[in-house]
Amino acid sequence: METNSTQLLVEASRLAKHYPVSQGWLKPQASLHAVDGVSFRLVAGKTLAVVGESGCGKSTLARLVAMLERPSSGDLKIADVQIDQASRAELNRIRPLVQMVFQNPYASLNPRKKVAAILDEPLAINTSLNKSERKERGLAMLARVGLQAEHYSRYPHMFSGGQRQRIAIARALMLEPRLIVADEAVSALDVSIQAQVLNLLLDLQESSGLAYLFISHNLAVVEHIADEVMVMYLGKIVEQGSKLRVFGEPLHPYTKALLASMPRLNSKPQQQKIMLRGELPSPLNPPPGCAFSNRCPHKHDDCSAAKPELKDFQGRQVACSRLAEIA
Amino acid sequence: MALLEIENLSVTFGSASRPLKALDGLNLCMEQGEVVGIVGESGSGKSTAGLALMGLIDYPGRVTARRMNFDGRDLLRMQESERQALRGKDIAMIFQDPLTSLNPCFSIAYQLEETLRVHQAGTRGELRERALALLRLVEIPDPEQRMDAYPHQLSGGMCQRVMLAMAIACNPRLLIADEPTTALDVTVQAQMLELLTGLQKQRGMALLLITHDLGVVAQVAHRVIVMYAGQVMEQGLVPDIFDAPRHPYTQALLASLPENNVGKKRLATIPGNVPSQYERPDGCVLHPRCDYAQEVCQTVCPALAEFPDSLVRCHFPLDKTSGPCKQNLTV
Amino acid sequence: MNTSHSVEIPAPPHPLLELWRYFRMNRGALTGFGVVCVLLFLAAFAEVIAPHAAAEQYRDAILRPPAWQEGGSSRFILGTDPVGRDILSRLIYGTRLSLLIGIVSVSLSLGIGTVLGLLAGYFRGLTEIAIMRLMDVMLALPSLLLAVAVVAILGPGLSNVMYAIGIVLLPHYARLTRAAVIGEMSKDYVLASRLAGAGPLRLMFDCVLPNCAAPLIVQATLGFSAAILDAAALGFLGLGAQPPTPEWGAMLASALEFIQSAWWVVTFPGLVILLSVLAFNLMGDGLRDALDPKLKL
Repeated sequence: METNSTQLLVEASRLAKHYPVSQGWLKPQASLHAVDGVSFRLVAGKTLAVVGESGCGKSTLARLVAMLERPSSGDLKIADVQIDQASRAELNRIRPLVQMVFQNPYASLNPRKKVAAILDEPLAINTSLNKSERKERGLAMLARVGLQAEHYSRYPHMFSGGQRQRIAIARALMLEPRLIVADEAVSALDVSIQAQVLNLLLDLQESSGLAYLFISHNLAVVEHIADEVMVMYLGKIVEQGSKLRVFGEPLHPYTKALLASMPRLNSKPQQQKIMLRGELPSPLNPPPGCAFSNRCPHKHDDCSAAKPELKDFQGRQVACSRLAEIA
Repeated sequence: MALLEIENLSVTFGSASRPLKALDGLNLCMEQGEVVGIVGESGSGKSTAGLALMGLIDYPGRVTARRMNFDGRDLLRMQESERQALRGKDIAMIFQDPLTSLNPCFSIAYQLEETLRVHQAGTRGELRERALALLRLVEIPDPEQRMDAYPHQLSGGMCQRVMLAMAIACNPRLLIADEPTTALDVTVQAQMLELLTGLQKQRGMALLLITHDLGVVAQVAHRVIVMYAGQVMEQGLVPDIFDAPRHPYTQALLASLPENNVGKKRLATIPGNVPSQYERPDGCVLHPRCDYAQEVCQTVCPALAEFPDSLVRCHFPLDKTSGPCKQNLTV
Repeated sequence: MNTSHSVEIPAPPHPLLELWRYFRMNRGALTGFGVVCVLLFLAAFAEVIAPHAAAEQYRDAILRPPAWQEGGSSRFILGTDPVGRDILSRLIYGTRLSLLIGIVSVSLSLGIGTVLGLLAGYFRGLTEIAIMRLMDVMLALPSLLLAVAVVAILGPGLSNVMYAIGIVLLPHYARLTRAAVIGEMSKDYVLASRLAGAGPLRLMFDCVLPNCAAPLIVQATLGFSAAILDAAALGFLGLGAQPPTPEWGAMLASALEFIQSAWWVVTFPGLVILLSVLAFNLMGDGLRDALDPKLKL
């Protein structure tokens, strides 16, 4: 496959995932809209970051893109394959293209398997290489993520968090994917190790033309690694655009609040503290109209009337019905 | 007389032949109303310090110090019953994970009233009123309804507020907060920090904030202690330490933060890994990873050197002019 | 510039060695293990160790008391039974049978129970409901009664006893495995294997099962002792080994009338059953302690 820098890897249009939730025998079944009408495009070699707090649907989105779950509605196209309509066999065929790195380095490696077996497994399932060829590839991959050959025959519990995450990245790379979904991949690591792993991810992207779907709640990390940013709230996108635009001049009230809440080392004293009041509404019972309305400092009566659509504004997309007034 | 005076606090685990120093030589003096932050990565010993202060280090851990006084009273030689009277009343602690810090089998009201009952007298009705007042103080919406809820029915942020309410219930002079906001979302974290600092100022509490988040310390603390592998690397006033750190570790830590690498392709990093308790190197604990290490660093462990406003444990401390990101660090 | 000097961790010990180290710290477990080793040794070398043949009847030495009592002789150290067979020899040969019963029953119940548990835990839904309700029904019946029923259907005899006990112990393993599988399925490394394209068989047997091994191993060791006891009970009821097979429970059964007159005929088989069951229980407890911290990563 040619690594065309403008090659479209993932195209999602009004992607949604609902979970039925039983509310007891007598009440009707409620529907949890984990992801509700999300559209985005991801190009090879670029990083799309998804930011948001717990309950915003970013983990569900990660699972949808990694084909671990089927969308409830909407279009999802990965490498020109229509995922929502694909058969099992087709999904298995393109599975090697999308791999994932998980948050908890202590739970993402099988404790009963040596590193050798962990790296061997993807190749054993998907390729027809023999044992020594697989071992060669495994050792090469270990070197690529900065580990030594003697680590090949050890068990995961002998490694630190940062090293385990490197092994997890090596495992994800074994099938030579085009896209890696990093679900809070550096959130559980120490600051200095986080920097090492982020550098590794950037190096790999440069050398292999990998695309990343980078899920994180850590805005400082996202600011460093992302090309495009998507801010989610209760399953919907509230702001979406290039990193420079979204971080430099946030427009949506939620984005502004998120950025203002980041504890910064060099915070300017004149930076207005935007404190969000209230708490996240239950995803089973979102407020009518705009989901953010009950916490928004610019709330107007119209906000509860209709759900705002994503509209183009100042070079990015924002979902706010009062944008023209408050921008 | 300072509220808290600690000199050379150490916590040792393991056998006599193979001791493991989880904490090695912490010195700290805190005045009433002061906020001190202890910053470090995993294995730095910062949580151990908090637990040692509260007297929560169980056998086989051994706590030793030249001096550990709270309000003039010797914490080391105190009887367990006296310690228990102090705990929760004069010194309180909140922990990282609110969902496991609250007992899932009992309601919020029960747990709050329990804290009050242990240290204060009063009828059932009086205690409930006080508990309600505490919930209002920590800004929990609809406290009357939430009182009888169970921890699993509340969000993480709410649980953390309840923890805070329990901690300040008896008006402690010193509050130890061990990673109080790590498990919370960013916006909830901001609310929590605001609440914490507000209450601290209002009541004149001393606050010992233990965290790995340098940003939080920069925002909230007056003084900071930077720890690594059980030892104090540097301590001093927050603006001084963060603007012009003297210790290579502090400098490297600050340099590896994404916000100090804006516009750069790669982040500055500290090579290598944090040594585990069993693999602490001889000499200076940082020397295998330090850019400025010399021969003496490999054999002799530096003592804490005194500077006008800070203490630094380094054979070759950086001078005042070398700020972060200006040195040639590993990139 | 100082190149990073990595403090090299020496190669870690083999996990079995580490397991042995933990296990060794528990005195009771070590004793149990020792006794089990003795039993294995006796079973293996019964022909060499036992002074007499198990079925040989000495008409001139009926109901002889043990050697240290008046009337006993060093020829029959633990005395003889009502038909003149040496009790010590029968006990030694009986070790073979008890261990065989343990191994066969436990293997049967472990094998089938684990697979059922895996299927229930992996597929959930109707599969799980069907399997677990069946297990619930089996658990609702008193185990001994169930075993008696199975033997009644299959007919008395030692091999049928082993199958019966195997079936009766089955639900415990199924339940244990199902619970462990459900816990493991939510872990990230299972997701990672799914992403690598692993199918259900590989996920179940290669990924999940090794991580459920600890509670299963412990249960199997304890199941050994349960099997021995159940076999003894069935033998006592006359449904197990038929004479002249030297099975401990059968020995107990045939000698009940002699409790007062010839206490040794009843006591020694009973003691041996007690000791074996105790040994396996202690070993199982020790294994549980040794395996738990290792796998709680």
